[in-house]
Amino acid sequence: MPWYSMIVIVLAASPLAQGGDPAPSILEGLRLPTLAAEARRAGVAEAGVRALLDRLRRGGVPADEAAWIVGEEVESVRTGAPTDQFGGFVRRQLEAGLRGRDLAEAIRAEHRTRRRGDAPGRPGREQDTLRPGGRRP
Amino acid sequence: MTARIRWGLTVGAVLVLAAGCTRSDAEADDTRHTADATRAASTPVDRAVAVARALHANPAATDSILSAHGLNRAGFDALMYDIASDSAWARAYAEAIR
Repeated sequence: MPWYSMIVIVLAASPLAQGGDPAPSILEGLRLPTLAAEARRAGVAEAGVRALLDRLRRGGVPADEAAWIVGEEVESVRTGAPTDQFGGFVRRQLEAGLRGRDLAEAIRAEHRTRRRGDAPGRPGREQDTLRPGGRRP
Repeated sequence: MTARIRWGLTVGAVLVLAAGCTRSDAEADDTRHTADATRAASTPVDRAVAVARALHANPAATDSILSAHGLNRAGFDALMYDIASDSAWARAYAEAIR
């Protein structure tokens, strides 16, 4: 092996050349407290936020997945879902044993259904919760 | 290529390597000192904010940053859950890292 090849190999293995993995899941996990604060700011009761977080923690859901789930629920509230149902669907899915990708897919499907229900001219869950006269329970 | 040029390149490579190692050690020491100080007199929020800032500044050093703050992955998850579950802590954390 030529001598300059040895130098290239050594330099490539040096600390200056070490980039490492960005660990996106840890960065996502850092968002969990912020998203919980956003849920409270969006009007979700303290008990509702804690109930979801407790269920996620007891279910062994890592912080990054929990952040994604809480973020989805906050978005759902912002688009009109009742605050008193915050996390209810997720808790039921966790109790049914869903985790990881299956849980994420179930949540996405549920939110797609909610959004379709919100579309003008199509009856959906949001309208199902309305009492006669258009008032929410 | 003359022996003098070859010698010069070799010495240069060694100097670059030495600089890399020195810088790396110095950064690790800084991280350790900062983390020790943070851990010694801090609330969970202070600790989480320090971790968050360090990770955002250097996401490639996840393991060493967590370890410098006395955390593994499970400990990190527990810290995030603890702060998220307390409304005052979550608000303070969100404002600090905004």
